[in-house]
Amino acid sequence: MSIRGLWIVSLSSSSFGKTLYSRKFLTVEKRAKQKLSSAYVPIPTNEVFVRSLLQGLGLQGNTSEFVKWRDSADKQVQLPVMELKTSEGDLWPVLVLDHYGVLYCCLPLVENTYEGRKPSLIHMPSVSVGFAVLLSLANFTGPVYPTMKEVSMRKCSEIESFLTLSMPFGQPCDTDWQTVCELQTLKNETTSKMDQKQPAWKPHNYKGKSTLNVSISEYVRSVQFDQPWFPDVTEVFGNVIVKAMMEGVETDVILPLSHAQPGHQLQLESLTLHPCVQASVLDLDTSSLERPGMSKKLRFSPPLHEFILCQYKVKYSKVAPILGVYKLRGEQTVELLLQLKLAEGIKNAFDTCEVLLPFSHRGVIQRQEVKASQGNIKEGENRDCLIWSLGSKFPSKTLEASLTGKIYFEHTPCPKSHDESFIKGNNTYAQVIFKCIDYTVSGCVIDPKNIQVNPPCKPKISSERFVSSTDFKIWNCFGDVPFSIPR
Amino acid sequence: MATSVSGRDVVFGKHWLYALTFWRQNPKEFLFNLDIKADTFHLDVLRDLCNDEVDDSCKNFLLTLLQENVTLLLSDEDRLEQTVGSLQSIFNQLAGTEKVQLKCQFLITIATILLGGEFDFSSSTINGQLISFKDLLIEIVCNTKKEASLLRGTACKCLQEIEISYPGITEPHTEVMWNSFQQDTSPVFQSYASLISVILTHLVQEKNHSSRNTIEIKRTGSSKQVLFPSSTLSSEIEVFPIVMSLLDQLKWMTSASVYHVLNNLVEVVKCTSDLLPTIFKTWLPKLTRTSYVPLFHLAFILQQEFGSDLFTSREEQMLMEQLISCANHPLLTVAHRLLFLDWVHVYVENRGQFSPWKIIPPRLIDMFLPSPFDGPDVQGKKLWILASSEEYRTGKHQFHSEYKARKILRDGQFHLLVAHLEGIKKLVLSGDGYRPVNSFFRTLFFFYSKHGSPFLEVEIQKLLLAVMFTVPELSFRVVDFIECLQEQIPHSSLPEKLVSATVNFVYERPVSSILLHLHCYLELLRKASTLPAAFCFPKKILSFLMEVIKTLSSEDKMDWLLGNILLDVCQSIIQHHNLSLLYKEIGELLYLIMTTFNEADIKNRAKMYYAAVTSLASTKVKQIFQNSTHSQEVTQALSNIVDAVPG
Repeated sequence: MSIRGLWIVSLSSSSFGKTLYSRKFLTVEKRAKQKLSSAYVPIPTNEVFVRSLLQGLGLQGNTSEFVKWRDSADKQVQLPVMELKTSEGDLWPVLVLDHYGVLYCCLPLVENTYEGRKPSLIHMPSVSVGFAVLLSLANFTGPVYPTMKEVSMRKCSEIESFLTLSMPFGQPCDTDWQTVCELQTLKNETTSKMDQKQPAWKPHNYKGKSTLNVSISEYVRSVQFDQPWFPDVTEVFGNVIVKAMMEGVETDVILPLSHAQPGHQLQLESLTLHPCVQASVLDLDTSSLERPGMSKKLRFSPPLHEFILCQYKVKYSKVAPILGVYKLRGEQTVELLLQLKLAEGIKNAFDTCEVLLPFSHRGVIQRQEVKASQGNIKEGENRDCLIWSLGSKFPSKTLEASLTGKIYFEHTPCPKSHDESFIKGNNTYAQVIFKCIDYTVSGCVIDPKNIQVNPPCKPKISSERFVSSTDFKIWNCFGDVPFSIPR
Repeated sequence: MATSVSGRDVVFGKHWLYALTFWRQNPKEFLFNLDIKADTFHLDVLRDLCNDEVDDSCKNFLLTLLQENVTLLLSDEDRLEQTVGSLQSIFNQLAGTEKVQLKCQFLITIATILLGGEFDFSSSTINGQLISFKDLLIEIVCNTKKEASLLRGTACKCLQEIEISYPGITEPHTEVMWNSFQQDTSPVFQSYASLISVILTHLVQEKNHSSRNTIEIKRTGSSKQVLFPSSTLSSEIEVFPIVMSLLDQLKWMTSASVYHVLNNLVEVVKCTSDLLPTIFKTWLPKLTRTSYVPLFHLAFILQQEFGSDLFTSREEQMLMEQLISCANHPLLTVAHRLLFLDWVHVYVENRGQFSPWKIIPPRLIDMFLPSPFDGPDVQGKKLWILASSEEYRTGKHQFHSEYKARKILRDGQFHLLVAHLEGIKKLVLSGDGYRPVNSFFRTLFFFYSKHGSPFLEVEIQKLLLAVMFTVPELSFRVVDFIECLQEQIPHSSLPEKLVSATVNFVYERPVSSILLHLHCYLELLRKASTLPAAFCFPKKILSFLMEVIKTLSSEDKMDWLLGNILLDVCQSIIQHHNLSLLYKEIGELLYLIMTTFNEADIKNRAKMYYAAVTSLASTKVKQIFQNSTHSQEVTQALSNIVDAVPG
């Protein structure tokens, strides 16, 4: 399962469409020619590739223009895979990931020809391999990349070194960039002096004081509309991140996930696990990890770098942690009312808790006569939004806070973001942004005292958790919402 | 671009990064701009590789340049031989140094040149160099005590690539490599494992495909199976212990290598009757829950290859449930979810082939309903799955209660499909861009191609009219929708119904309200005109066009594009309809265009059409228009005839 070529293309306004990096693998290309024969389409120059890519994604030229080969209603769509038009034929399957405002693309080798409809992605393992390669590359280059107008020498060298070790001939042997970086430091070492094999995912052994850092990052997103036919939708999900610095080649850690309140059940579902989690604890038939229970245990042999141990979703059937009603109407002058209430049982202590009310679709705020029951209000930098900072807690007795008043707008509307054409008139929302340290809505907690390490050692264990909002919107009940009616 | 280092010019010098960027944009253009020939450029590169004063990063870049451009720079055998020889010589000179990564890059470059060039193994030159290089690699790989582990790992990868290109070429060295693998305790052991798994795969595949009668399978007392008779090998290769040893070592390998080795072992097991798929059993839980996409995919490959020989019914069910969960996991990227939804779609559509997943549990069907957090691509994909699912189509579970709750008496499942399209539709109607529009039209088309119910036909008409009313620019999409129906579902009557509805819709609109997007509506009418008169009402179209022209400003009447589109509609009517029934209307329209439009091309074209319609027999006119696909062809054909017509 090999890759024919890789590309990194900028989407930033200052260097839109610029190829930040590209690489082709000639031996794979030769195999492609041999296997595909007349169906073979050569990789074009970067300029042609990028032009075709942007056109295929609808990012170049007049985006509302209908292009038959790209936009036809009966076109076989296989996102995130696409087909690019070149003068020598259709280049397929081109895998495209959009990360940090940069396009990461690769062309996996497909060794079989086909007639008519393209084969399904489930029958193309090379696409999955390409997927892992692109994710790895994106994580390796990181969010710094898009801000760089030119690729620095150092970054280019780093990517070249990474690919030389990871996939010198287009077939990846390691897509974990942290492991590859550790491997680069092996230098002149010949072989380990130990009798057992040094894990490839842990090229070095650690010497020093053992430490184990575990953290639970939980997120809540919610859509609320205060209409009887539109029930609120709230999702709670999170991941457990581990960094273990422990001596020895093979170290086993048993990490228990339990509910913070004794006697309560931890209801996790949709669990995905890091490959280092051992199979022996996974009971497929009973799916013990997802059955409601007091605690779950994960047993794993950790690498030396930070990694996501597991990702989960919570079976959440309660109301949203912060309930809200948003009422806004008017034209040049609007009256608004926003009422928030902290749900029962939710910890009333926030690291941050604020509400953003965007008005860019209405124009610049001329003046506002808005009062909050607590906290303070300020206008955004461009005077096209209000930010209400509630402080660190809701009033203890009522657990409620409100915002009410009038806003006057100037006549000139702000330039509208293309992605939010729906936001106009009374179609708008209040976005709640909060973060709560040392708390999770699910109750998920890791008790350091119950962590077991084998061979026994006494690592310094730190455990932390937080919950924060993401995409938490309360829509104006006098407008509309861009969703279909949920069940 | 060249700068001097100690008095000698270096190809790219300090600015090698910029040179790299330009080179990769277009190598041929790069050479042309610098007035350098490809056949001499490689000599400059080799010279710099020998130069101790050139930075290692620059050398790495030059080596990558050679790797990517073998066919451009080394287009004949002599040049290739010379380059490989030089590179090997430089590599040998680096022997005593600590430049491990540079040495690795040299090995990779030599391998790429030998394997990636246009010449093949049958050439004696390449043959010799390849064998010689292979032997060098074997030597490095086997020298576990002296060679740096990174270098040995790279040598393994080079050997693997050679083995993939020429299956069986490294087979004679399997035993020594196996011994080295067992001795090696460094983290690069996985490169040995990967190589051995490839060799093993080729061996078993050759056994299955070979027509040689001398191959026989021997069984020893301990039930080991051997592949090759001792007459062809210095020692026999035992498959079973190799396979079990590799499986045993997997836990020390990185995920990417685990995938590669396991994938090869699947092939080995398929081709070896004595190896049972149950050897993969202990890996099933891990593959089912993993966050690493290729390994997760491997679980499905195992299921497809071995089915109930490896999986219990419950295990298959768990695998499918995990797939559906991942397709909806909020922490996975949109790309992840779209990939998994694509897999789900295949399983939902082809359920007869994948037992026992014949019934999707109701709670899992719910996960295909679009959520407010889904973007238009994900929503569209989910609706496709829903439309494909037997449960949704037959409404055989809790959707019944939903139908009742919404007081839906008939065609409940289609009601729900359309209702769940509401989110995307709102984005489309708000003009929210490219992706919702594509998702909307494709999903509608998919619904209809799957079910084609009268209810859907009515709903589609309503939806498309709403779209045309609110976002007239999307009329081109409606035209495309009709064309797709005609091509893919030729027996359907929906195109005719849509055309009738759209023609009536346009006809009934005040002309002043459509002038801003006139091009869009005219394209619609042009397409409509290709259908029989009973559906497209050509007289209505012509009457409408008359009103439009009378309303146009003098500035509009100089618009070449607008004039051409008007005439395209006329052409379409002439091509597809009985002129004798439309003679008066089409004549008046063409006359109006030719006398009121101020654009010379338009006047000329209208005049020709008018002359043809009024002077030639309608059958002849029709034939001319039907034989020519473009207006220019029509004009050309007409000019030859019309000129000859008096008056």
